[in-house]
Amino acid sequence: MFTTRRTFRTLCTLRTLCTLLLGAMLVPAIPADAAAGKTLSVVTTTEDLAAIAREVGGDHVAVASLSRGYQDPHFVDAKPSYLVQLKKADLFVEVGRELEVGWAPGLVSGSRNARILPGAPGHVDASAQIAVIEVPTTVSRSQGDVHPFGNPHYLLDPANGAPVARAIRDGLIRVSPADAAYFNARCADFEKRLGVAVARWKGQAATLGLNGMKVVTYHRSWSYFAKAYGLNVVDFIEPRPGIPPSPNHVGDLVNEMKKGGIRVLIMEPFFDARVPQKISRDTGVPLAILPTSVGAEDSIHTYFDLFDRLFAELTTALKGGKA
Amino acid sequence: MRFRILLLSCTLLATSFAAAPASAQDAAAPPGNASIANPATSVIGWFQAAAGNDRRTQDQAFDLREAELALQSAVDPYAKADFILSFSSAGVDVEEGYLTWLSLPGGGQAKIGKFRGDFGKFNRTHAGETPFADRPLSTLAFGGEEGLSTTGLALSAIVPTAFYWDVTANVGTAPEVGVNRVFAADTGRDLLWIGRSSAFVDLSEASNLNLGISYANARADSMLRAEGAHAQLAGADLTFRWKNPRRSIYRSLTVQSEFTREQGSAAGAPSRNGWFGYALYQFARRWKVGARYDSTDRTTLAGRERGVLGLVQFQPSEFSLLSLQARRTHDSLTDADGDAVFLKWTFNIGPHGAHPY
Repeated sequence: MFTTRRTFRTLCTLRTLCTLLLGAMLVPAIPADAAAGKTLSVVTTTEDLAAIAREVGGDHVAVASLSRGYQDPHFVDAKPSYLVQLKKADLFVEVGRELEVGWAPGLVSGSRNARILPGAPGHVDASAQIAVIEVPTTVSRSQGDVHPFGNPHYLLDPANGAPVARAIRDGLIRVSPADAAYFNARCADFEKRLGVAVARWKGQAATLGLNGMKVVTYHRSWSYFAKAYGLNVVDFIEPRPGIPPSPNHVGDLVNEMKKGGIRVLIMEPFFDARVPQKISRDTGVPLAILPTSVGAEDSIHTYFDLFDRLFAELTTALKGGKA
Repeated sequence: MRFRILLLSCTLLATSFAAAPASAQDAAAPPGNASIANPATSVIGWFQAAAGNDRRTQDQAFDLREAELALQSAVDPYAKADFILSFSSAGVDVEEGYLTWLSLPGGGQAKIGKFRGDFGKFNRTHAGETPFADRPLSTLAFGGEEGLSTTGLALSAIVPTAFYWDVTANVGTAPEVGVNRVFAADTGRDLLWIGRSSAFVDLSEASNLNLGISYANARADSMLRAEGAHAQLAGADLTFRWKNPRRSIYRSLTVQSEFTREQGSAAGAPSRNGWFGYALYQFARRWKVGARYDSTDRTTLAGRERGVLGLVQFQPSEFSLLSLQARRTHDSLTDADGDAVFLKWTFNIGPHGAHPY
């Protein structure tokens, strides 16, 4: 084969491969201090973070999210095509607390981009300034797929948008100090607008009577939302994090819910709705399939859209309509 | 009947999980870092039962095939280290142990140590972590039981194009006599050279295609020395994946095929070919079915081996996997069939690792 097909042989020789390899490696890298004045490339793991990065970075950044808002952020495929985006990134922003542990660390270490490696100026863990809840006192897989550093779904408390914006602002300033005033001003403006919106959503929550309301949720995505508005999460469809509901657990849950007092069943859009729909039918408790992220629905483009939509759908469900 | 018993056992196992939320407390944010002094440590166990008249990869009816101890940590801001120690009835082996420089000037990456060679796609996956109880016939014929490994240096880079395209080169010590069926070093100075290039293209949000070509060259095994002092392997691999991101935990499809050709370096030396292809379909959150077809020439004997394998896979959680597999092989030299049934159970303890891709 190789003796008769010289063209193939030539293509296959290590010399050719090494030449390609060295050629690729000799493409000049962009030093970090050259970022000032150019549009910064920001890559985030989720669309929530991307939306906040756009608020802070304005027209000085081009932002891309690796996952879509309708995906389960625990289970995103680490596709090699993401490396193309990460290789060029000036700033990488992750939710942290091991939300993306199954896919993001390998992508970052495979990106061949020293600017965004953990510990580098261009690596932002957005959870750094968050008061994290549900940090387990003991960590064991017998409890399911627990997050050992606490619940990572903190972006479902809208007040946490502010510390996340500040973490992104700090990261942008590290990679482009010359634009510090611009990023500071945009971050302050975002925090101001968010503060007004948070007060509005608090009013809506009071109108709906969320404080003390008993609810059942699918996954532990809603802990921060529940804490922010006083919801009482009495049980979960998922018996333990990452473990699908068994028939026994569903039966016990239905019996418990039939005793009354549960006002609404809340689930994320990326789970199979058949079991929650059956529970809802069997118990008469309305099911609310609520967005968990920017991009979860076509109409949710910003962090503000997310909570406006979330409250609208929750209102519909509580008033007996279809959420 | 046995399959029904297995299904019932799996269902009982699944339903035995009672609801008991983990004890938890609210706390101010601690740094997300388990330990500075200790590397991330995990153990992957691979238990397997086998029955039938063709146990080419397993003699015992029940066998703890392997316990892999994996240690991983950042060495400094520039590099990370990985060690994978394999414990089996054959003893303890450093299956892999390497240092990776994460970003070289110019955007490359380098690895030094002992590692699985970048030949093809399947070769780089540890046997216990593949979907199969055995290794495909062509990988056994050209790579041996343990696949193609080397101790040396690997360089890789992403070619700056609009899509993902990488090139990789490995150079290291050639396999010792008896380790591989194609290559065998005469001395410790004999080298194994491997080159690989692969491209990845997103066809849509839900589907993608990965195409790779590989080449390897080292001193030929003594049984093949009449065909040239060096043996060469060329390979091509194609992987198609489909997964709807809106329902990513419930449905997926992987179709992969890998072709390998071997030929000695002497003019006019004969060539031998082998290939396999498989499909793995996830039809529920915990369930997959799959099928594989193998066909390969053998390196030292005449004739061709063919095989088919079917499997059903149940995944109680992200951290354990149970698979029932049935295989039939046919040897054209003896015109004989061989049958085997396997029950493979792998499980993982330790920190949450990367999801396989």
